[in-house]
Amino acid sequence: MKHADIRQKLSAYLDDAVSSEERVIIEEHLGSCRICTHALKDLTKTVDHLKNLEEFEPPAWMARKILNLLDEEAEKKAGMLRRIFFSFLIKLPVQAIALVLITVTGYLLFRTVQPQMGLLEPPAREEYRGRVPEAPPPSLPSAAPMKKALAKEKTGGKVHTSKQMAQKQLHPAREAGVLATAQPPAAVVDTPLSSANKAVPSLEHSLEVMKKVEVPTLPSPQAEKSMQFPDLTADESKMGKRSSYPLMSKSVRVKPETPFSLNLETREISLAGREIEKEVLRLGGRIVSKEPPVNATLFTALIEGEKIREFITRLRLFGVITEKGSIPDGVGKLTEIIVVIDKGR
Amino acid sequence: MTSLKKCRLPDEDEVEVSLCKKGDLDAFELLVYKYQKRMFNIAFRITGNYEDAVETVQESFLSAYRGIRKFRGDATFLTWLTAITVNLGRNRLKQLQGRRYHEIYSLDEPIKSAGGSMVSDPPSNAPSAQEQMEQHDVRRKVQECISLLENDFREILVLRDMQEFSYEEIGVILKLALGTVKSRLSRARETIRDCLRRKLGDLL
Repeated sequence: MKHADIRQKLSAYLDDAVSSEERVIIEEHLGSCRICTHALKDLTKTVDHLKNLEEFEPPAWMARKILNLLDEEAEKKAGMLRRIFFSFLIKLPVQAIALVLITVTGYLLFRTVQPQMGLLEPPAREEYRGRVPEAPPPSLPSAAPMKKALAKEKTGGKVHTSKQMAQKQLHPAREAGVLATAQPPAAVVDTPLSSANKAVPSLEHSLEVMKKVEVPTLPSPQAEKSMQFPDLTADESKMGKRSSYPLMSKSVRVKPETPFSLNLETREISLAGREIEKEVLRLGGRIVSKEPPVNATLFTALIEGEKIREFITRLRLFGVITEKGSIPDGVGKLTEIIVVIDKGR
Repeated sequence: MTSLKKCRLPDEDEVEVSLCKKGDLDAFELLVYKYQKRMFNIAFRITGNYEDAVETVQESFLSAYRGIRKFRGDATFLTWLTAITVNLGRNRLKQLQGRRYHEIYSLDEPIKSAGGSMVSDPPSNAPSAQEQMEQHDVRRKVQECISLLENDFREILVLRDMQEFSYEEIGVILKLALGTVKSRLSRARETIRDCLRRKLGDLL
């Protein structure tokens, strides 16, 4: 290592920043070179001068000023964030309230509309239409008024029990009046229901009214719906009373007119009963029902109308016959008659 | 230089730094009070002016707090902060030199500042009045020589002989290789030695 190289490394040698090999070489050279030794001494004194420079205290307020500046900067940053999100802070509650209001309104609307939507349920329509063929035969004139009256009653939101239906059966004229008032305006124009609405004097008149009502040319779709689906009212669909039609058809079988009945007074009730059954079968009729109440027997039979008088004549052989009601005159049709056999007084 | 980056130095300020990264200003306050004097003296020796040193240190700490999340911990917080201070001091000195006005710091007069006279912190072993006067004169001349140095030499002398950073730390602060640090430091010492010989006649 040359003299110049040694002098360049004296600074690092002074800081002990040379390798051990370099240190050995430098120390050997320093032992033999006065110039380098003097240079090292001057370098050491120079470094000592630098190290002996005093240190100054910074002003006492400097640290506080730095921290205050940082505080202001942080507040400014937070202020900017607040300004950016300020609108969101206001809008968020408004949006939340709007969402709640929409939800509540939607729920209330659903509650209101839901029953009406039930009217449009396909199963209900099919259910009703599927039972149309089971409608009572035209031979029962009381069925139509009952059906229409029931439909209008239900359209008005009322639910009737079977007992109420029976009461309506006893007052068909009054029910016809109810029907007239409940008809849609379009139907009222086509039919003279206004007179029926004022007063219904008789059963025949009410039946006429009902026949007019049954005219299928209803101009109003609403009226058509009420005619086709008389039992599908809001209340019923909601309460699950889809069985209203079977209830009505059952009540149709109960005749509004009191059927022709015979009362046979005899001491041999059972014997007379057997003979009556034989006579009914012989006349081509049939026994519908047989009920043995206490001390009596009640037959319900179907006999052709022209054979009823012959049947009465034969019954006189067994006891005293009392007729109730007029003898039906249906020719070629099975007519229902009731025969009560009792012991008499 | 590369080997210096791979060698991760233990950082005594790791906890405070991690808190600062989460926005903890109290933790940063600890670092400010811990290093403000050291940074101030570095800035003062580089800029040679009291007000510039104060402003340099303020900017240095503000920059450090703003960029604390970018501090990856490859070096210690002290070396990272020192590098910021040196860079800001260098930039300020260039601005001063650009204005053609850079008065050499005079140790004969107390440095005026907004807070009053600058308080010096002389080394221990308080000398006599005569000795204080002599030391005072030597220090003034040393500071003159420092001020006459090139910026690179001044910085490396401040970091090594006044603040006693290791060669490795100086390499990190100035982004220099270890060999460059040695050679630059050697030339800086020889330069100031020659200056002192001229100023003092003898290095005493």
